[in-house]
Amino acid sequence: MTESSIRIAGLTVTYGGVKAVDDFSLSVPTGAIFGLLGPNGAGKSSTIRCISTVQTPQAGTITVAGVDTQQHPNEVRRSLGVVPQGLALYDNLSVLKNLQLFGGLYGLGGKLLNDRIGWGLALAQLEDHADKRVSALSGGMQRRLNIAASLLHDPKILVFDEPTAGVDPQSRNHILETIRTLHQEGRTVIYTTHYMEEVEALCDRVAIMDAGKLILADTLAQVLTQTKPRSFRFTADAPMDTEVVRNALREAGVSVVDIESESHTLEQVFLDLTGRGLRDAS
Amino acid sequence: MSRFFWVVRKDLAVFFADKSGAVMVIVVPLLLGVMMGLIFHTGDGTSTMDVGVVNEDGGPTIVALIQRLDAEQSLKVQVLERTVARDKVAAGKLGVVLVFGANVGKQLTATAMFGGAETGAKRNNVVPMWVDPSRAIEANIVKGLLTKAMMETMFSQVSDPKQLGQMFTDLLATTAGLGDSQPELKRFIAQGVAFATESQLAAEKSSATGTDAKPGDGFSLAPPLDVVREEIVAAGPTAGFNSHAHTFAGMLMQFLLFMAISSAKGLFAERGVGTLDRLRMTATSPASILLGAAGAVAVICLLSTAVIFGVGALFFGVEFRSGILAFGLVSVAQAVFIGSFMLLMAGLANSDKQLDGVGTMLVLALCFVSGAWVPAFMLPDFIAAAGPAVPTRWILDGFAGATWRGLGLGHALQSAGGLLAFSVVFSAIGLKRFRWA
Repeated sequence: MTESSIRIAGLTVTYGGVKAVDDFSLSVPTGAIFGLLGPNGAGKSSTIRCISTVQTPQAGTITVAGVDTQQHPNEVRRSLGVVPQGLALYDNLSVLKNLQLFGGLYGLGGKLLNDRIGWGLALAQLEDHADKRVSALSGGMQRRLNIAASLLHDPKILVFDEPTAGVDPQSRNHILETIRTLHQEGRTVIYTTHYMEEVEALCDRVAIMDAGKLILADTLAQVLTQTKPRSFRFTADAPMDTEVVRNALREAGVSVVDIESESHTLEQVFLDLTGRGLRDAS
Repeated sequence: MSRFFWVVRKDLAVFFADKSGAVMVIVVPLLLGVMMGLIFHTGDGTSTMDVGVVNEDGGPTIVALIQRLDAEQSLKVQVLERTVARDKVAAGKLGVVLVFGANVGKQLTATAMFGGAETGAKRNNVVPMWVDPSRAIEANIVKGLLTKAMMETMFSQVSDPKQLGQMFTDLLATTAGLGDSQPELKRFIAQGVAFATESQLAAEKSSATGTDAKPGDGFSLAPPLDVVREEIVAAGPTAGFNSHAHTFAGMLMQFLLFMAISSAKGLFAERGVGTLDRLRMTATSPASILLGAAGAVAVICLLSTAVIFGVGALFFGVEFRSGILAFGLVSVAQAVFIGSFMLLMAGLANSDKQLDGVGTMLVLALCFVSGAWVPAFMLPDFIAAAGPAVPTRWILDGFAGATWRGLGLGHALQSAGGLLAFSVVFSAIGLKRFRWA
């Protein structure tokens, strides 16, 4: 995984003079499932919009599969499948018409279009709901369709922007399994979410950004050991009061036979790095 | 199928998914067109206006005068009591009331034309005309017809050559004191005396020979000039104004402009939910997305135009006097223009509220200035002069030329060209200014 599917260098995005993304650089290795994390307002969505070519940054460059997003946006779009955070579907059209539309816009036609629509319906497990209006589907079904509509052109690099927001456990499990399958088929995946357990379960690499800047980027295993343990379990050689232990530790004169550190969860690391204050999106 | 057509197809599918909304695009302008057409329908010229009359004179002269007014094709006379008549004008139920007071009929003699027969304090030569201020035009028409009726009434009194001779003899005596001044008047009176004498002699001769001639035969009260109405339109002498052809075009255009505003809102809604971004992520160019949306609007415009003018042709006598090709050209140009207007609005405004405010004001102004509501001749001169600079004027002129005026294919090409020029400019502005985020 030495080759990079996505390379971001010095990306800067401003809105009315406020920097949403500030000199952000990142490399996503080919074949990785890459978790992009950050609190609300960290700049994740702006970064993804720039990767998706629908936003022009004020500074910096992005290459997708070696192609510059600003110089050859259409070429980038053909190799990129972006699952947007919102349900970007036409809810008064049927499932089938939505898939036909997006397949057509990806340049598919004839038998290939029909085959890919069949693939998409199977991926989303919506074969029996093809003629239903999107508005008649459950939230989980809509999320699954939202994914299928982005993958009809069989892209090699996938970007999922909070794909499991507001779905039931079964649909969430289905979506995560789908992503694993797509990854196993050789695709590179960028995954953003607020659910840390999903990243721990899914991703092999992680980047954390805050206030538009990159805080750290590494393998998941390395990220989980970024800070020293803050809690210990130990066994003393004799029963003792809590006060005694505290005093002993204070004076560093207690003889400790066994100390076992408690592993950090990714969520703890994340909160340690980005703080515990609420980050309501502005 | 290119991406442009996929976007058109998508927007049409979204539009027709709301079936009741789609029907409204046909039904509303149709109803408005029919309603306005009936209001402005001039028909065969037999429509009448109600006029109230208060007859406190009661004499035969005023009765005859009222009968003459009632005989006018454009008037329908109601004889009313004074208080009732006044109340009706005040309530807006009557536009005009003529009040013939006591003894006013005595003024209607032939000699009144030359100074009045009655003199003194009892003389009453005033006919009050009560007018609803909002119907001043009717008052002017009634005043003109009353003048005509008075002249006819006065002349009718001298249809007997003896009375005519007497009138001129009296006038001769009245003007004797003028000396050598007013020679033309004296010559006129002398000719009148001679004419009356000849008429009287001819009547006596006829009576002696036993023919059926009566006094007054050979004496004509016909006006010296006859006015013959002839409607002139390019389509030929059988053509005439069809108010529905005008109002269907006007109301349809107004409704389609509002539909364009609504479609611009649809683009904003898509921007809000992220579907526009998703369309762009599919390698569909921004221009294809926006022009595709405009294309869908144009297709809907064409369908509406076809249905509404089809109904007009079938049920309201609308004719395509320049041929279907000319009508089709103007229809297509209108459709393209409405699509470009949608782009312009989406580019200039940045929110639904801006669209509601600016868009509504602009649509209403365009409709008013182009004569969609009231005929263009009623507009102030400076607005009428701005005609070619107002794109919607090209639409209405184009449809008028293609339908009831029958101005031919050349005129349709001219209108379509003007509209397409506006469309290019509007589209360019819309494409350049549209905000994607």
